[in-house]
Amino acid sequence: MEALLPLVILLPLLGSALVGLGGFLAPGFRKNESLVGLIATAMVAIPFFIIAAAFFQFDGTPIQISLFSWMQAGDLNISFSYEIDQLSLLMGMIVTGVGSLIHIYSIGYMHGDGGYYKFFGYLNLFIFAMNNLIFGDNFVVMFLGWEGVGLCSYLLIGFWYKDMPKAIAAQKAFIANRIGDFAMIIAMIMVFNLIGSLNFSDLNAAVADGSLGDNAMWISLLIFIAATGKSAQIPLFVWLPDAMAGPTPVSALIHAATMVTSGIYLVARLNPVFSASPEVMTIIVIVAALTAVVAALIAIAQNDIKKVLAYSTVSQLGFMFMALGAGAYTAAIFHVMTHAFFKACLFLGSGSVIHAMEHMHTVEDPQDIRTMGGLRKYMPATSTTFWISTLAISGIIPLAGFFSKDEILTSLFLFDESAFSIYKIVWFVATLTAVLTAVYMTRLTMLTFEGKERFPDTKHPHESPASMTIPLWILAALAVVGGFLGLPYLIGHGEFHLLNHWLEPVITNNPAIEENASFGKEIFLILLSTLLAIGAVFFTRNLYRKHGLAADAKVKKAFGGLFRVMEGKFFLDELYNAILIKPFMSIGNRALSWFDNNIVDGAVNGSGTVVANIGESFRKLQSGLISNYLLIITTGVVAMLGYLIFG
Amino acid sequence: MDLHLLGSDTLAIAPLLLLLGVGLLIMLLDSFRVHASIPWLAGLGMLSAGAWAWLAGPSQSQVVFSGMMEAGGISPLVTLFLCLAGVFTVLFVPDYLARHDNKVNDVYALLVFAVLGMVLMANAHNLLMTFIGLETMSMCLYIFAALFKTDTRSNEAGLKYFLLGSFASAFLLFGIALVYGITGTLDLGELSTKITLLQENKALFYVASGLMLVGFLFKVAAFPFHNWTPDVYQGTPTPLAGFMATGSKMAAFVSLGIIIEKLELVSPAVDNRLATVLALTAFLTMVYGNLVAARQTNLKRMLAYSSIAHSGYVLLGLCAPVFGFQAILFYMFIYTLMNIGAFGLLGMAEQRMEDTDIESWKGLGKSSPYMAGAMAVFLFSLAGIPPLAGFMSKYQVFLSAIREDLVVLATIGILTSVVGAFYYLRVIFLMFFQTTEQPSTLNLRQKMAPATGIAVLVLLIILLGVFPSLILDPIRAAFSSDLVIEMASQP
Repeated sequence: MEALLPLVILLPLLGSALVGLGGFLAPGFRKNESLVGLIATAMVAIPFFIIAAAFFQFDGTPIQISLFSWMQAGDLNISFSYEIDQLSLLMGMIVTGVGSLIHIYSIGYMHGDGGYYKFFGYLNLFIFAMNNLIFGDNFVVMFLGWEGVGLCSYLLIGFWYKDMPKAIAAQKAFIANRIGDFAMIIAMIMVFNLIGSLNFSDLNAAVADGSLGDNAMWISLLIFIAATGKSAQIPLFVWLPDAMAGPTPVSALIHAATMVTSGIYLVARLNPVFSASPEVMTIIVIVAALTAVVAALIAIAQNDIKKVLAYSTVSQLGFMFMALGAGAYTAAIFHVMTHAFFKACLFLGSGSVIHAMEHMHTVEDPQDIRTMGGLRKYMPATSTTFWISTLAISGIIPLAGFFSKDEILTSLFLFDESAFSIYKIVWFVATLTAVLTAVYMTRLTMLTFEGKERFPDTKHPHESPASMTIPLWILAALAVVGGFLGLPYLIGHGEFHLLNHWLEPVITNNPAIEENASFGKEIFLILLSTLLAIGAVFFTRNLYRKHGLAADAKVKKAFGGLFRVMEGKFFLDELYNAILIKPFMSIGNRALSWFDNNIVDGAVNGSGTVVANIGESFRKLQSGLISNYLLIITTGVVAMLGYLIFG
Repeated sequence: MDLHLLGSDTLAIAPLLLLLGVGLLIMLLDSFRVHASIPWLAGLGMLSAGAWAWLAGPSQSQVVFSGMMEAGGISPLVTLFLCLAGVFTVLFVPDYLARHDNKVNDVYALLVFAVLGMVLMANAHNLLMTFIGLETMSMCLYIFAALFKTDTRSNEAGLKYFLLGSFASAFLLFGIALVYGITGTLDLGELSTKITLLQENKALFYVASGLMLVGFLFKVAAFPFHNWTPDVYQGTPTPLAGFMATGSKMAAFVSLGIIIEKLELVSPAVDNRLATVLALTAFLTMVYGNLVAARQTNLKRMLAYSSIAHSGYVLLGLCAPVFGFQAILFYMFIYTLMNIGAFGLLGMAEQRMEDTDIESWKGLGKSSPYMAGAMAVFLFSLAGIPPLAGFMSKYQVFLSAIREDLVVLATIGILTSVVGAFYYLRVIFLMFFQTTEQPSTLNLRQKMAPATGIAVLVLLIILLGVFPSLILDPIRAAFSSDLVIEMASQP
């Protein structure tokens, strides 16, 4: 078994090389879509089965796999080594499992696209990078994966780069992630400086023996900043909704199920460091709550099917970070898993809808839900799976989303015993957000699949092919049963929380949550969230069933002035433009043009003129410039010697 | 001195003699009008000189020729690197010159002599030899800049480079003279035993070392001695500009590194002021190079400013003794590969002046995907994006700086390299993500020799990014066998 584990890393890379380079070099291979799709899918599916086998045979001792030593500098040894433990196995299963399904789906979805081979090449490369991120046992390998998934995301968002907005969206994602990466690099430098190693286990051990001291706070803060970039939290979340410009399977795989959760994974991996810094935990929980509620409010006012799902993803990521902030790491990973199921299903379902709308050629924007409606009749499989996932994300018992979300809400409520604290406020915001989630998801589903058709009825949309609907059914099934891996503490005192038992060796949750728990509180919380979710879904469903699209006006009225803010996405893009980008550009421009004119060569202007004025003026300019240059050099020499002698 | 010793001395500098012979032979062949084989001869000559140095050079460091030259230790590896820079350059030159109707075959002789000068400079054990090597190299480079006799831009470049270069050489020479004045010797080995004497004459020593530093900083284009770079590179035939930006810098940095190690210029125990100057220069160079590069609209000028920025990173490595020196040798080798590649490719595309404008590279990803892909590899690597070699070299330098507790400087370096990534990526963005109505006007010729060069460079950059130890291990081994540097670094 162990001998096969390196394949988990290597096969996707091999697949990417085969498909990408093969397609690039051999036009014949490029045309053979089924072969391309088959190779690419196999290179993800085989690792999935290997991980699954390892998962069920796992005996509790982490397995170390070292491929080769990358660099050795004195006492620092960085090797491509991977750690197979409970957490990485679970995450790896999610990534390769959902990844395989999305590969299968893409075979149908990308059919006929000119960049078919390129798409699958990138997709395999993404899985390779993601596996590095998950299984790497040190910061460097993890960071390579971290950068790699960013690069693939950048390439895939801009996949249809003929449209300028898509290329710009790709750049926005790239820049937002760079900011986060910078924090990550500084964190890595700090870690190396403090403990002389970049291994996760060494860092966790250093926290345990207290040698890190206050620095744990700075490291965890920096890593959280890095995570706000990759996992789309305030203030860096603006890139994710724009990233929906990429092909829909990409949105499902990268921007919903896997890459965006890597920040959460990393925090869970380093849970001792975070547990040692309560101040940072408070920051996390506040940022996460704000992100969740803001994104959920924006989602209500959107009319683009993918934009709603994108903001929903941001909001759900907020839930996961709230769990992390409360020290309930298992709950966060649990939600990562259930969210991967239902959100991937929703995105793939939206892809199926967009696919059908596009093929009718009668609507201007195939993603605008205002021109949909009544699709259930034409697309039964898509609509049923979409409904299941909608109910799951809304937290309807006993679907997967209920269990994971309930666990997060419970953890927030039980964090402390006081009636009025930051965590109680956060709990309240989270509960409110859960209600909002049910509202916007039900609205989306109602407007898309129910009611009257709002598109011209000259042509009918068609259900997608089986290669697209089968993954939908599998994901929907997982969205139904996935929650049973983590039954609430209430039932058998946590004995049936399989996930908790599984992750116990690598994750230490905040013990206060369990201590503060009581039967009464728990039953109250479960009843509350159940009632709120069911109530919100029913209320919204009835509203939109009765009024159809006109119900939007009622919602708008209910929110009053706030609705304009929601529609404008809280004007964050405009805000960043005004307070960051514009001043930065103008300061930069002004400073640099002063630089150009006064300090820099003057040759920037000069060389243009040189060509124009050969001869006399040339000579004049020339001598002028050289003495200019000499002056600068001499000034430098004088300054330097002056410092050396008198400084 | 007995004859046996002379024999082994000669053997120790055989690569230099080989280079000299090849250079002279080329001039001879040229006068006999045997043109076709000249580029081959130059390339093979440099390749065999490098290979000879590396394979047959003495393993332990020793001083030869009455203390003038050093053999063994790091010198075989440095010789190999410098010769490889020449070999890669020669792959691009014939095609470029043919396209510009220039048939100056002397250029190959000059190229070989330039490499000779660089090797001389980097292997010198006496400051006088350092200076002679530097001047041999510089003379050849001045002519490169002015190679296109009828082009005003080239004339401008040659004149500017010559005047400013002489100015800088004078500083270096003056500094060397002062060192001699204090100690009565120019032998680097003897100098390292007279550090206390140098320290006693503090003011004079500062002036001497400061002036020497200026000479080197000019050659490596560090702020504020950089301003010749963009103009000169722009006027120089593009592949030769690539050579200028890499080989001469490598030689100058190695030479400066040796002087720093032997005179303990940045050793914290002895003196901090020179270390401060070096650190400040590194800081200014990194910031300046990257900021101004981002403003360029001409690819050649952008690469020129980028080479200034890269000098800043190497200077950062120099601030960290021994480990930093190892790191910068690695850095300079990788940098040589990427830059010769980028300049070479630029030269392959260049027909008219506008061809070096960034705008005209728009949409190249569609019209010539292979070449655009290769350019993307060079630029990604220059930007320091893993897993390419450029990342690894930056990483080594930053790591060595952090080991010496230069955390602030290293952080600034990382920050500026993030800024730097912007202008490299802009070109890639234009090539691949910007489609214009009409296809790119660039006519990328794919002649055998330059295309092979590009392919080899791309492969090396990827290979060394994944397996950096292929080069790092030999470098480390060379340093551990270099007794002089090892000894000098002991407190």
